[in-house]
Amino acid sequence: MRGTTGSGPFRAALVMLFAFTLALPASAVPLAYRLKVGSTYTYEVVQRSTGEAASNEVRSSHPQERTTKLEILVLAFRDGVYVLDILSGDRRVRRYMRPNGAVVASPTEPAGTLPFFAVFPEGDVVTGKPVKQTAMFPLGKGTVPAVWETTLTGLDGSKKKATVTVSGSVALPSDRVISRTLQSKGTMVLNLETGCPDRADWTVSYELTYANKEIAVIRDLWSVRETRSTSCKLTGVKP
Amino acid sequence: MIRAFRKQLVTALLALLLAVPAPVPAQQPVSPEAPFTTWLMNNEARTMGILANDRMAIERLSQPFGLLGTPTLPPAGAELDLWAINLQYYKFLPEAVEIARLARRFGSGVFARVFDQALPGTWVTVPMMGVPTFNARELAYPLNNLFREALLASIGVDKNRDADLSERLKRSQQGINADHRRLLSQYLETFLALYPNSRQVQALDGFLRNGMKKSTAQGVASALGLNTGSASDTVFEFENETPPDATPKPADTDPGTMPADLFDILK
Repeated sequence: MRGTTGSGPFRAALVMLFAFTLALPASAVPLAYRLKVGSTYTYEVVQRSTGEAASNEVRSSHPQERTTKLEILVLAFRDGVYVLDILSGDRRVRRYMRPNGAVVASPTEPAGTLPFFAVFPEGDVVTGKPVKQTAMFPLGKGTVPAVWETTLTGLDGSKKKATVTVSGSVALPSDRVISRTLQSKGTMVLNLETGCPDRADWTVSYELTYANKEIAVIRDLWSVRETRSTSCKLTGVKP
Repeated sequence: MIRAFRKQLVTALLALLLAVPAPVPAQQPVSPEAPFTTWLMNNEARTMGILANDRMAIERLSQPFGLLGTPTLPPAGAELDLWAINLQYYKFLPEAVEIARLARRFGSGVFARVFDQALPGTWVTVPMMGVPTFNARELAYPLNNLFREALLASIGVDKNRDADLSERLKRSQQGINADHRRLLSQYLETFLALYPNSRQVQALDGFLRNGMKKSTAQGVASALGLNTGSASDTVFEFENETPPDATPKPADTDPGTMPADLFDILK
C-alpha cells in the first residue's frame, strides 16, 4: 500500500518529464561558411588509400599514405559567392563557392570532372534530420543516380561547434554476376564562430565482385576493393 | 555478228567465273589453350572497362566538401598484380602445349622404331659387311649420327632443349610460384565448369594436373636418340608441391605412352 501511494506522484512526474522532453524543439542552427576575405586558412591533410585485388586465395594489397598542406586563400566575397584559391603542393584551383558549400564555378577544373559536393541545407538545420541531395553521374553510355545525405548530428553545449555528417552513395548497376558498391561517409566539425571547419574526415569505399555465368553455372573470378580516407585538420588562420 | 559473239564470250566467261569457287584463305589452327586464354583476357578487358568507369565515379565522390579541395591519391591499381600473374600463364601455356605435342609425336615408340629402321648408315654399310679390312660399324656410326642430327633439325627439335621434356616442362613454369600454379588450376576448373564441352582445355588441364611420366620423357628422349641421364625421376605434378611421400610408391610401369585420346585433342 505504501509502495503504491509513493510511486503515484513519482510516475506522474516521470510522464510529465518525458512529455516535456518530447515537446522541446530539437536544436536548430543555420549552417554556412563565414570566411574572412583576405585570410588564408591552412589545413594539414592526411590521406590513406588501400587497393586490394583477390582471386581465390591469391590476394594483393597496395596501401598508400600522403600528408600534405592545404591552403585556402579567400580572395573575395561578391554577390553571395566566395572566390577561393585552393593550393595543395603544385596544384592551384580557383573555386567560386556559395556559403552553403555549393561550388558554382571552377575555371581550372573541367565541368565533367568537378566532384559532386555535399552542401549545407538552407535555413535553420535541425539536429538528426537528414537532408538529401541528388545528382546524375555519367557512367559508360548512361548515367547513374548519386545521393548525398547531410545531417547535423551534434551541437556542443555553447552552440559554437556543429558536427555535420555526410553520407553519399552512387547506385552502380549490379546483378548476380557483377556486383559493385560505392559509398562515402564523412564528418565535419564546423566552428560556427569562425565560420570555417576545424576538422573534417571522410572515407570512400568501393567494391567490385566479378563472376562469370554460363547457363546456370555462376563462378566467382575476382574481387577488387578500394578504400580512400582523408583527414583535414585546421592548423592556422592568417591574418 | 562479232558483237553477238563477244556477248556470248563475256557471258560464258562470267558463268565460268561464277562456277569456280573462290579460294578460301587457309585458316590458322586454333591452339588448344586459346579458348582458355581468350576467356581470361576477355574477362580482364571487361574488368578494366568497369574499373575505369567506376574510378571516375569514385573521383567525383571523393571530395564531399567544396572548400577542402584536396587532390585525391592515384588509384592503387591492385588488379594489375592479377594481370601480371595471368601474363605468366599466357607465356607458360603455349610452352606446355608444345611439350605435350612433342610427347605425343615421339612418346609412343612408333617413331623410335621407324627411326631405327630408317638409319641410312646401317643400310649403306650392309652390302659391305664381310668385306675384309672394312669396318662397317665404324662407318655406320657417324653416318647415322649425321642423319639423326639433320632430321632433328628439320623437324624443329632442339637437342639441348628437348632431351628431357620433364625438365623442359619444369623449367617453363619456374617463374610461377605454388600459389599462382594453384590459381591457374582454379581458373581452369572455373573455365571447365562454365564450358564443360571444351575438350582441348580439358586435355590441357589433365596434362597439367597429371604431368608426364618418367617413362614418357625417356621414351621421347630415346625416340629422338638423345641421351638423358637427367630424366626426371618424379611425375610432374602441376597442382601441388607436396613433400616426397615416405611410403614406397609402386614402380613406374607406364610403358611410355601418353593417354592417346588426351594428346589427340592437343594436336
